[in-house]
Formats: sequence, C-alpha cells, structure tokens
Amino acid sequence: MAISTPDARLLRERRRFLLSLGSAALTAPLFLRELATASALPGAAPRRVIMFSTAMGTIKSRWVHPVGPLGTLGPLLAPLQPYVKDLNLILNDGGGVHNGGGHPALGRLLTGLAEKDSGPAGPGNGASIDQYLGKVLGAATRFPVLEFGAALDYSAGEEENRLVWADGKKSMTSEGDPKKMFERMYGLPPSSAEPTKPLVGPKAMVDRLSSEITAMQNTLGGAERTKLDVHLASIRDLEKQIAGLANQSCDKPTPPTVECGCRGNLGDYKLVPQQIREQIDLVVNALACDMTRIISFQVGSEGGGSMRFPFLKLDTHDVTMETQTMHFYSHNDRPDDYQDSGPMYQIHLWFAEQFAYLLSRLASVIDTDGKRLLDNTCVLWLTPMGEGRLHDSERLPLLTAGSAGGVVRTGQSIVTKDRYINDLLSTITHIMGAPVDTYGDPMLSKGPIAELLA
Amino acid sequence: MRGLGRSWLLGLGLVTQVLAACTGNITGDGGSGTGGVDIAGPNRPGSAGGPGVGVNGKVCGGAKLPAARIWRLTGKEYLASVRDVLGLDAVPELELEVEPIVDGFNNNANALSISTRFAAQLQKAGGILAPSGVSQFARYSGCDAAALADEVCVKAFIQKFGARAFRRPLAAEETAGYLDVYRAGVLDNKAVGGVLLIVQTLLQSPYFLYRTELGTALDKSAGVVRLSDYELASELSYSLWGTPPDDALLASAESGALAATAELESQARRLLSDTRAKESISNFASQWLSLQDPAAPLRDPLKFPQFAAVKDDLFREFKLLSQEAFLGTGATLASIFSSKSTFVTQSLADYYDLPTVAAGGTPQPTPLAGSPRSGLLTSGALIASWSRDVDTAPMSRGRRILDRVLCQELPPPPAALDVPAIPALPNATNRERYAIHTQNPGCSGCHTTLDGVAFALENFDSAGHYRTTENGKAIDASGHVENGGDLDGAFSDMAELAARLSTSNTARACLARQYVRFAAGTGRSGDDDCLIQGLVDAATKRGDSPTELLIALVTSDYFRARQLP
Repeated sequence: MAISTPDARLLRERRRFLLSLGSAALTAPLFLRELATASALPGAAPRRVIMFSTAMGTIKSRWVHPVGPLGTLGPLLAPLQPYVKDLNLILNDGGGVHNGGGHPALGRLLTGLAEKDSGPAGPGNGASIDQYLGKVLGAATRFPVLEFGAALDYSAGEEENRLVWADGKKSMTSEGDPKKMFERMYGLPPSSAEPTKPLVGPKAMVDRLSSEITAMQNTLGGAERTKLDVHLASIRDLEKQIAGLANQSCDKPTPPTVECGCRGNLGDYKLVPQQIREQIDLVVNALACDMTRIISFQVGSEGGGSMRFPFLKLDTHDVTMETQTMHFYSHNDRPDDYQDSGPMYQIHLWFAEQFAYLLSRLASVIDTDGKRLLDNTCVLWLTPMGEGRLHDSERLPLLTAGSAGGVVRTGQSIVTKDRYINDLLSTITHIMGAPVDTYGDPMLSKGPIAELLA
Repeated sequence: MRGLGRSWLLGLGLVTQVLAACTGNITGDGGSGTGGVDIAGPNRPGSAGGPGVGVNGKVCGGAKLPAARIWRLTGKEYLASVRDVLGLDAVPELELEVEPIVDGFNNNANALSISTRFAAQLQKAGGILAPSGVSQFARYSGCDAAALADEVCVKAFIQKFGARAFRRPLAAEETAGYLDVYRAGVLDNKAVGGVLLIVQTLLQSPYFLYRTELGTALDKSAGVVRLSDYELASELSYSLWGTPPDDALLASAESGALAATAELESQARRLLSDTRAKESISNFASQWLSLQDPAAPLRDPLKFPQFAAVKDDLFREFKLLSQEAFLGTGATLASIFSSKSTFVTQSLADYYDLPTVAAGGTPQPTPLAGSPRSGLLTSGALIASWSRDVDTAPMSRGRRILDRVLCQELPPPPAALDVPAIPALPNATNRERYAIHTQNPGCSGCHTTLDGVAFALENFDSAGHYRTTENGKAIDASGHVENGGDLDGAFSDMAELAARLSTSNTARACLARQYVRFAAGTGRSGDDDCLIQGLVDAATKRGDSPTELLIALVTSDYFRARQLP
C-alpha cells in the first residue's frame, strides 16, 4: 500500500507536526493552558457534530460541482443552496470504505475498519466515531452521544443495516422512534391533568445576580462603576438568552406523534416524513440545550432492510410498483430509474430536502455565543456508496455543513484522491478538539484532510 | 454588612488617633512591623494636595495609592476558588475567557471585567459545578446530607457556603435573598433543585467573582480608606498564594486581629512558608520574565532536534529555580540573577553540559560551578521563550532585558521611519547582521541603547544551548548599559552582566516594581520611585531577602489602603 512508503510516512509526520503547530497557535497563550478544554476553545460555545447518513450513494452527474469555491449546486443538492457558504462538497476519488462492496459498507462507514470483523484496530478500537467521541468528550453533557434514526430496518445483515458500532463486532441500535427518544430526553410526557409549568429558577437566579451587581455598583464610584455596567448588561443579556432558549428549544417541546417500528410495514413507511422531522427537531433541541454534543443519525438501512417511499409517487407508469423498496430500484436496470425525476432521482432529492430541513433548524437557533447553532456545529452527510447504480464504495460523495465554531473551512468543493473514509473520521476528531491522526485501521489512514481545517 | 467586629472597632479607634496626631501611617497600629511602607496623613507637611506614601520610615509625597476598586478573579484564581469552596481535588474542564495582558501581567485590576461571553461561560460553569456543591451540603449545613428540604438546614448551608464563597460573612439580606433563590429552584425541581440553584447562583455572584477593595467608611473626608479585615485577608491570600484565604486567615479577619501590623506580618510569613506560595511566585516569575506557554511547541524540531526532548525539563527548571531564588532558604535578591545552582534531570544535565546527576526523572539540585549559566536569565526556558526559529531574535531579547529587567520603556520605531531589512548574510554573526542599526543615523538614536544589551545572550542559541561560535565566527557577547543608574557601563558577556545585576540597585528596584504590579494588579504608574526604593531598602536591610521585600509590601499602606475617586 502506498501509505507505507517512507515518503508517505514522512509526509504524515510533517502533517502531524504542522497540525500540532496549528492547534497550539489556537490555544490560550500563557498560563491558561489548563483552561483550554478538549471540546472547545476558551471563549467559544461548545462544538457539536452530527453524522447523518443516507442510503445508497447518489447520482453523481446531478450531485457534482467543479473543484473550487462553491456556486450553484447540482440539482440533487438544490435544497441546500441557501446554505452554500456553510458547505463543503468532498468527492472522494479512490478510497472510500475499504473493500466496501456496496451495501455492507454502511457497517464500516463510521468505524474505519479494513474488513468485516477485523476486530479492534487503532484509535476507536473498532467503534464508530460517534461512540468514540462520546467516550472522549461526552462527560461534559448529560448524554455522551445520542443515536437517532429514521426508516430503520434491522431485519437483514448487520453490516448493511447498522451504522453505529460499540466495537468491531458489536453493533448498536439507533433509536428510530421519536416518542421513545423524547422520553429518554425529557422523561415521560406529562399527563393532560398536569400541564408543564415554565421554570422559575433561572429567573430567580438572574434577579438575584442583578440585584447583587446593582448593590455592589452603588458602593462604587467612577470607572469602577462602569466596569460593572458591562457585567450587569451581560447578566441581563443572559436573562434574555435564557428566556430566548426556553422559547426556542430548551423548554420541553411538544411531544412527537410518531411511534415508528417501520419494519417492512407499508403503513409505517407512510409516516416516515413526519418521523424524520420529529427526529430532527429533537436533534436540534438536544444540541441547543447542550444535552449532548455528538449525534449520529441513520436514515434508511441498506440492502435487505431498505426503506420504501409510499409518500413519493415513484412509479407513475406502473402503480403496482409504488411500494417497492429503494433496494429494488437500486438494482433495477430499467433505464429511467436513474434519470431525472426517475425513482432514484426523487429519493435522493428527498434526502437532500431532509438534510436541508436539519440545516434550517440549526440555523434558526441562536447559540449561547450569539451565533447560529449551525455555526457551532459540523454536520456530515455520509453515504456508503458512490454512484448508487454501480454499488461502488470507493468514490463517495461526501458533504459537510457548518464550521464548528470556525474550525472547519467552508464554501468549497474538493476532491480527495486515494483517501479512505478513515481520513474524514480523523478530521472529525480534529474538528471536535480531541485530535487523533489515524482513526480505525491505521494502515488505511493518511491523516486528517487538511483542506477542511481552517 | 461587612461584619465589623468588636476588635475591629478598637483598631479603628487607634487608627483615628494616629490620623489625628498626623504623624505617619493610617493603616498600621503604631508600627511594630518590620519596615512597611506607610502613608502620611493629608495634613502632613510636604504632602500638598493629598496623602503621601511613606516608605520604610520616610514619606514619599508624590506616590499614589491604588484606587478603591473591585478586582475580578483571573481564570486561575477562579478555579482555585471553586476548588476551595467545593472541596474538590480537581475541577472539571471549563471554558473560560483568557485574560488581557497589561504590562506583562494577566491580573490587571483595571483590565479585568466580565463580558457577555464570559458571563455565559460562568453561568454554564456554575451549572456544571452545582452538583459538587450539593455534595458539600452536610459539611456546610451541619445537617444530614439528605436534609435538603429542611429550610433551617438550607439557611445554615447558605450562610456557611456563602461565607466561604464570598470570603466574608453574609448579611441577613443576602441570606434571605438566597433562600428565595432556593425556593424558586424547589418549585422547578424539588429540594435538590433548590440547593443546586443556590450553588449555581453563588458561583456567579459578583461577590465571588470580584474581590472588593472598598474599605470601610473610615475617614472618607481624607479621601483614603483602609481595607476591611476580610478584604485584607483576601488581598493577602490571592497575592501570596493565588487562592482564597484559608480558615486561619479568615479567623484572623473575623476576630479583627488582622488589623494589627504584627498579626498581618505573622500571617504573611505563615503564607510564605507554605508550599502554595511557591506556585504563586513562579507564576509571577514567568509573567515577569515573559515566559512562553510551556504547552506551545517553541522550536522547529527539524532545526532544533534535541529541544523537544528537554522542553518540559527546561520549564520545570525555571519553575523550581524561581521558587528557590525567591523563597528558598537563604535566598537573596542577588541570587535571582546570580545563583550558581539549579535543578536538572539527567537529560537536562547533558543538554547544559553539567556533570552527571542522580538517576531518575525528578530534577536534582545541581551546582552550576564552571558553567556559563547563573540565575534565572540564563535558564534555557527563558532563552527559548525570548528567541525564534530563524535567529536568536536579539532585538526581542534586548527589548525584554530593558523592559522586564531594567524597567526601561523603549518607544516603538517612529511610524515614518523606513525600516531597512536585516540582511541574511549566511556567514555572519547576528551582531554583524544587525550592525545596520547603529550605522544608520535614523536608527542609532534608540538602537544604541537597545543594541547595547541585545547581544548579551548571543552565547545561547534559540534553543538555549550554549555556544561560542556562530557560522564559524567567534561570538562577541559584550555590550553596555545606558540610563541604568548603577548598571551603566560596559560588560564583556552575560556572566558579567548577571554579576552586575546581582549587586545593582536598579535591578532590585525594577524587580520590586514588577512585583508590585503583580501583587497589586496595577500597571505602570507615575511617580513611585520613592515607594519602590522603600521596599528595596526594607529587603537589603534584612539580608537582601526577597521574602522581606514581599513582607514590606503587604504590610504597607500601599497594600492595605485605597484612594477614593
């Protein structure tokens, strides 16, 4: 393998050195080193990350964008056009998931392992990146990581059905049921006899602090008094933020309505659009209220567990086909399945609409530092295949949104040549401030993708 | 509200008497101290227009007291305070804004305030830390740990926990206010929610985050106040330890004993003999001498392959050496510049070309006999901090010697000046490369002073390694000092300059001035020569001891009294 040559190793060392310089330059200059936390720089809101996956690649001719600054996006990404400044398109040219083989690549998309059951290897020990970050950074929040899903079906092989892994052999279950996720986050929904009361504590706290600052101010003269003007205004800002957050997202939201098992049940699949929106709302709540900073979100399973789209009119020429699975269309060689407005085209466009909804919600919440929550988040959109029609896992169309507090350089379309998914995974660790230079199998890792790091 | 005790009132009477007699200090008790700096009363002859500051027995008319003020805790002090009040061994990682650096120090009282961002960080930190406060409920309330719903216990908790956080007893209004906070928290989340909210609020209180130095109503007509005993206890503790006052110091404040100079001095000596003083003095030393962040990769590993392996040892050496030079047995102000022993591991001994030391990773006290190094200024961590990869940065070294060691301010190059590039000259020494400074008449005005000291450290490369040649040419590390009083004149190399510094009054005065900036959180101030000299004299009179300089400062009125606006 090319990466084991001395030149490559030297490059890697050099890169590691440059990166270490970069991160040192970002940390506090003197004496406050101990204050710089792993998850955020002093003075910044916490960084968040979302690993969002959808099934079966894309149609590249309708996805691709010339290398360089992003302009008008391809038709399959049109719903993301409002966020073009926040995006990166990464066309992974050679690499992808090692020996991915199409559908089963889902199981190693976030683990970076070389083979099925190849066992613990390198940083992550075979765990998916969300679980690894949860272990390293999760202590700061109530949930180290939350695993969301929609349109899940675990009835077929684990590798083609499951995104999240505790280690190389043990898969984990993502929660596809918004009601269950809501209960986990907020406890059981209140009975109608006991309506939720707005919290009184935060206001009492801010009132107390304001009165103390005012009292202290009254003992001061001149410039000292001015010093506390700033503090008092800050506390009042805080009150507004507490109130604002309570209105926007930190209050217990309206409980979701969808109870979704979705296992091959046509009725359930009709609920998927509602399910995914309710799930996305919960994701945004969880991040806005700092319940967790790490989210994985699996949309659809691969292969035998593939989802259906009764809510899209996919087969106008053959109404009996409207309940077919995505898997069916992916292997079907009818010429128009991958044509514009054909079934696969519609499915991938629908995925982009869901991703756009996630971005719109993240952009609508103002974080504690006054920025959009999206600005403090890095959302990755991953898929285990490249050109869905070919079922290849070597040339993945990948996408990021948000700069995670300015750490990610955005607004560009890049091509990464011969880089396995491992390098994107190690880039995530750098973005989140817990950097490792290889993730998963070290033999597949060349180090983080420098173009993505600001 | 400040809890004036009976003995405080007695002390107050005494002070008023002294003022009335107008013969000397207003904050002392007649002066059994060992040489503090005192303040003359407003009517004292020779102090026209305001109180003068007396130094070690004589009065300095022009010197000014720090203003009555509030002084925000630094991030480090905040963490130490959190650790103390919550009884934690280690504080969880928190995001806190970095302090502004003023005149080299990060604790400048004027510059520290609370921004919206910092307020938000403190709010979040309060939330993260609150559960640790609840686990201290039994310790502070004296009740069962589960008695969170018992308001008698909660009130006791508020009083004791609050007193620890505020470093003074709570007024009745404050206790009642926190009981209201508790009740609001209970409505949201039962009794535990109430106690959590108390802790979260207290940790954001201005009385926790700021130290007040407002004094008492005493003698406002004179424009001068004396710090309350509790304020003084905090001032003393944060200055000498970087932490809040401990039980003994708080008890001394509570009893009013601390108002007496003898008690203040004895508390200060107790603090200085404690290991916590070491941490604070090395913090001062690294800010005084502009050390870089030990976590930063200072040198390019390709150009300086050996440096990374000894970097941690170098910074540890600086820390231990500064602690020993200021607080060690027999430490003198001279030893700060000229000490002939240091603390090295075997790998550092190799790096410094010193004889073998005892095995193991811990640094061993090691003599520097025969070594070109002496004192703090030739320690490798300092030299590396003052250098850069491309060259030894002689101008920056020179500027630091002037600014940090001699307290000479050098104006920046005039804006209109067309600054010529320093030639690369691969086969030249730095001195030759920078000769353009003194040859060009547009530069030489300032550079004669700067370049006079800029090459003193040329025998040490950017990684702190000793060398005698540069690009095959012998190094000339000689120079001269200008405008430096007793230091003026030529020196042949750093060893000679260090020896001269070790006997210099100018160097002592600068050190004292820098320590005052650190301990009092004040920046450059005008006419304080007389005050500074008083501190130096107090030390030189008593064995040239740095400790005595510190004692003279903390027992002085400069430390204990404030000027009203």
